[in-house]
Amino acid sequence: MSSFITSPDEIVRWMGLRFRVPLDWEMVRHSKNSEKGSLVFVDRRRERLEVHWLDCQNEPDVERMVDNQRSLAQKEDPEARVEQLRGLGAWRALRIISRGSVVSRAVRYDTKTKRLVEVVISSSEAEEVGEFFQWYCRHFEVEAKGGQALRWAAFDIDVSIPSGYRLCVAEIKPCDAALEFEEVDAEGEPLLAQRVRVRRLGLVDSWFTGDLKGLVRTHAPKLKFSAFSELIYGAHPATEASGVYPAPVFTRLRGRQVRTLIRLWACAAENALYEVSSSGYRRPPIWPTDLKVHCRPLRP
Amino acid sequence: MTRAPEKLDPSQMLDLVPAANRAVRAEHRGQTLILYVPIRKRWWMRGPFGWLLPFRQEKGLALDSLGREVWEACDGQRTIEQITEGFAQRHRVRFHEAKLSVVTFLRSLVQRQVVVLVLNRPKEAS
Repeated sequence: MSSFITSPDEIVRWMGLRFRVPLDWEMVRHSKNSEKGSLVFVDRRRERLEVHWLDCQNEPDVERMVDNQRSLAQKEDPEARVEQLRGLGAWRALRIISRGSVVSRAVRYDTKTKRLVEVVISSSEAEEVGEFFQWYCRHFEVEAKGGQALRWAAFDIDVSIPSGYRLCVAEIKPCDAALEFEEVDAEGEPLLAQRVRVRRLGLVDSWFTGDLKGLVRTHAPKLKFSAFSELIYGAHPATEASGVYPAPVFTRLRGRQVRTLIRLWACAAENALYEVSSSGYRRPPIWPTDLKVHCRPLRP
Repeated sequence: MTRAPEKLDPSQMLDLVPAANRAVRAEHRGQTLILYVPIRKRWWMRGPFGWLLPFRQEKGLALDSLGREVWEACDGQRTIEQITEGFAQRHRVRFHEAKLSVVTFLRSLVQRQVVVLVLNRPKEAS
């Protein structure tokens, strides 16, 4: 690997895409749209990587897209140097050198999932990015269609979800990241009954007293708890709680009172606390065990 | 005529070196560290008003264990990047999460005149 990478790397899984990025790169923009969207990463100082995806019914002419991109780059800056990069397998790639900055772009169509994927890496002329770009493209995989992704790994959360769920909420704050998934039918329409949520809280040594039960009550203050149990999840002592949210009589009679299961555990190796909750009303919510959260010691 | 301060490139923010105000007095109270910053005396605090009214001489700022850790790292040698890196490693958080915490805290220290941020520019070749 070239000197472009200054730290170890990690695997990111988002919308069925799987790739590696240096550990100190951070995702700063993300799309929740499975058909068309993008991710943006920054390193410690500047924007580095963009990943775009688009579902295509028919195979696009990738060669022509690359030619158009080359023409566009030369039209924008007639002094720009545009080089075609070879030896990247299924990727078609260009390097555009203009006014001291280097933009490496690669595009690829995955016939299995019918998805068009583009990656853009920005660097300066002084940086040796070629080897890194090759390494990056080599490790990029399209695992599934965006709506059928079963494993997600981002913001230090690594989770496997049951099929039939899709990402609906991503709340990302420093040391507090949460991904929420909702059940969808075969057409991809939300069923509005079942939701699962994975939340990871960091910097635990500075605020967590060890009272998991108290924390469950704090995080769900309106929930009427019916049971608490202690168990071991992986190697971690965990607390599991179940309860229902108060609802008007009519809602209860229609069987629409939301039931919730919460599992909470602290991972000392990560200095983090995980909270997995699932809720639903048509049928009992799925157990948080159906949603596999891989904190670092449990990561396969 | 005063010269307008040079605009700082955001990418240089990590190269700034926080240096502690030497006039700051530190006092330990259990886990808490209290920093006392001298208050500049206004003209009306010096004269007869100053003899009659007990104006406070300094203002205090209490730091928890995390704040104390960052404060102790402000030795005038380490850059914000190095302080952040150390903080991220010790607490096993991502660099960017640590950066946000450290920079927000340092900003509050700068506003209270507890630290100043120094940019060490590379010396030009003669």
